[in-house]
Amino acid sequence: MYRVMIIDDEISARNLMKVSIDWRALEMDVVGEAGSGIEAINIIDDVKPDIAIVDISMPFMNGIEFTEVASKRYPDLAIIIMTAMDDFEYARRCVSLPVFEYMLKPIVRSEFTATLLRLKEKLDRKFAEVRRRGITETHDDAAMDKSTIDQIREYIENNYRDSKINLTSVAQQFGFSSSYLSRRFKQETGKNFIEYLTECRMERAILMAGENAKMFCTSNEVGIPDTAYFGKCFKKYTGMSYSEFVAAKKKQ
Amino acid sequence: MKWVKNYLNKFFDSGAHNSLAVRLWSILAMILGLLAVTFAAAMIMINLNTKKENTIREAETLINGVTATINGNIANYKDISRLIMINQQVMKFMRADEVDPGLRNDTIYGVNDVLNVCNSIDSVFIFRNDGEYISTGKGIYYIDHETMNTGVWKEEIYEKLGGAIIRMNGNYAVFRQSGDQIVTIARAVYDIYSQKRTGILLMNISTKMLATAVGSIENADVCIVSENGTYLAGAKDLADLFDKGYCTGKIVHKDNGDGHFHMVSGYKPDGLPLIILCRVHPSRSRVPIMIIFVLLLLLGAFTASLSMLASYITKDINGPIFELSEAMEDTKRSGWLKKIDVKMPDNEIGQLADSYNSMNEYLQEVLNRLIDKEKAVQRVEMRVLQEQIKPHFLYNSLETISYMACEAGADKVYSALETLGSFYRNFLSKGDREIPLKREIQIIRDYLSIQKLRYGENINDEYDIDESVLDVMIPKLILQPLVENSIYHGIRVKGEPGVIMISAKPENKDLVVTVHDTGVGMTEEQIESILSETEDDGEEDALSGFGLKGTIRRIRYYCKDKDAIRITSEEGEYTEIRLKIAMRSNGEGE
Repeated sequence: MYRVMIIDDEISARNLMKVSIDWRALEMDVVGEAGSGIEAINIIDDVKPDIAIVDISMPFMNGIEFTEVASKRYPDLAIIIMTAMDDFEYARRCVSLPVFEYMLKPIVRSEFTATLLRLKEKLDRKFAEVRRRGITETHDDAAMDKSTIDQIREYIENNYRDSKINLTSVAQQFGFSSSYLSRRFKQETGKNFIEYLTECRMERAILMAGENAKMFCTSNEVGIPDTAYFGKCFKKYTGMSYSEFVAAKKKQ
Repeated sequence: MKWVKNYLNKFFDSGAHNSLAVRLWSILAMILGLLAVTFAAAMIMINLNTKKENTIREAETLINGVTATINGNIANYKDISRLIMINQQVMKFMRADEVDPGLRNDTIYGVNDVLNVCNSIDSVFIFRNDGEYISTGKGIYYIDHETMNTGVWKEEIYEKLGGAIIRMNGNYAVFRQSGDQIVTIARAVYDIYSQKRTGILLMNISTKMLATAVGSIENADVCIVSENGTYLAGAKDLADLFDKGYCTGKIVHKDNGDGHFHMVSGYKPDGLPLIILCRVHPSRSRVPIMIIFVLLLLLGAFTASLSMLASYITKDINGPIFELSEAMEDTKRSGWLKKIDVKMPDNEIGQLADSYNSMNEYLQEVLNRLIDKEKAVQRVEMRVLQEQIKPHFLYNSLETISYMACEAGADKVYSALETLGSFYRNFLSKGDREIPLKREIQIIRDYLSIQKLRYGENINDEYDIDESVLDVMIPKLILQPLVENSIYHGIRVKGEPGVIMISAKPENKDLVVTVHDTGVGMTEEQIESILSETEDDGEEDALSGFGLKGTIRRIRYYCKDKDAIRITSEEGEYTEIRLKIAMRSNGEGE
């Protein structure tokens, strides 16, 4: 089963894709979806997709920008770009990107299935190759001591405003594999990497909410410019929506 | 001067002479002509004046010379007469109480002795107070005693006491029988001892003396006449021109009026009964060469400077102006606001060219601005049109509805929506004006499958597409309108099930596409009307979107061939539209 992640700001587009394609027949599974490039970067390390289907026109971070970031961090990720005819010329200008295919919207099942089938064959061949060579995934990570973890924490505290950082980017920054960093980070701090990053951002957001800042200002400031995703994170962290939180703070 | 001005105006206003150069050169020619005429007139005036002055001068010299000669001769004769007067025999004759023939002869001999000295003396008459007289001479003379006895005749002589008077023909009392004129020196005779007046002496001189005086003169006619105009000596024809006007005692010059500027001068010497007339030959007088030379030099210099001025104007003004106007004409002909790059002199004409260029630039700028504005307006209008169909909105809506259909398990609805989406995806695509044939076929398939939803089994479609032409590029949306036409004006009208067959195959180097329908067909007139190039039913085109005629126009425009499209039909049976498009580079545009 290949893991598929759908990134599209239109929820109906994501839904339609999920229901109209017979994923099971393709030996694929839609394991995650994101409403923006920002959200995708934040969750992609958890979702761990083999295939990303990315809409080209999205707010905050469009499909092209996302692809640029993702193709560097996840060289094995297969990306399919979805585009309406309007953006086609624009998309074509980005052919240098390592993208498996550009597909026209609205999707036509026969077309789309055919493309996915081709992708599956390609992935099959690639994994067969990997398997034939033997499992060489074990990355000889240098031992990570506590001071390194501290350094990483400091790095996060200094850089959480950068909306593009995530586990993989930091791991690459410090020269570890993301799985090792993730494991060690949890061992040392008792928290997930992404939880820690979000905590940093939310603490700052709470401060700003206390100062009565508008949500879009805060979300920008803390590195989650996608206000919808920011709202989701904020509610999950504080148990209240941003506006409720601001109102509650005022009462005190 | 006014008529000259009028004439010049008339000359210049007569159209053909509008060129500055022609005008210039005609003015020059006119100035030169005027100059030449003035010069000639001046020459003639100077010539005449000089001639006259020379003539006068020469005549005066001549007359003075002749007068001096005559006066000298007369003085000689006077001396001779005095010699006669004091001759012994003459004195004896004058004193004698009785005059006898012997005495008379002795006296004549005595006189002749004196006269031997000179032979021009015609005769000598000596009258005594008592009327006795002697005479020498070779001819016969009449003596007018009556005149001689009048007091006046004698008084004149006596008044002079010892002096002599000179008169013609013995003061008009002695005449030669032959009619020859004689000049008489008359004087009273006095006795040298008693100092008593004893008589009168008349010495007659022949006109030969005068002829000698004028005989040696060249280049002039000189004539001597008596006081009453009688010819005496010299050029006889001049005697006819005598009149009393010459008898003033001064030299008088008179134009004789024969039209040849022949002037006749006359002078009456004091104390002589004569008038000297003189006519100088005109050929003798000359115009001074220096004056002519200077005038010619001036004329030459003036002509040269005028020519220089004219050639300067022609070369430095006319030429550049001509070039400039040629260049402007060129610009006009080219249809563009070009700069003039003809080399212009660095003067007012150059400035003119510069101004023209800068005006051109300005105009170009204004035009560009207008064009830009127009383009901007067009762009905005296009945008407005495009914005009316917002693909994103359409697609998102389709997706949402599709999802709802899926959720509800309405697979057929979803399929229809999917086809519609596919159709619009191709139909609304921007940018590509040419697409591969296979995409156009896809548009038709989608279109027909949607139409089939509406018309059910009444429409059937068949395809016969040669695989080798799938990637041939054709103008976008040239088949769909034909298919649409087949449905609306062919099959639907017929009211029974019909078939639309689309075929595409290569034929030599062309792609041949046919759209065949089993509809109502067309009449010859309809086909002609559709294929004609008139635009009379343009409105109908507008109503039916791309329209059949509009499509035909596009195909013809694209193929640059009137016969790229052919229609065959049989009424009630079928219509077939056949397109022939030259195959160009293939390959997917995507």
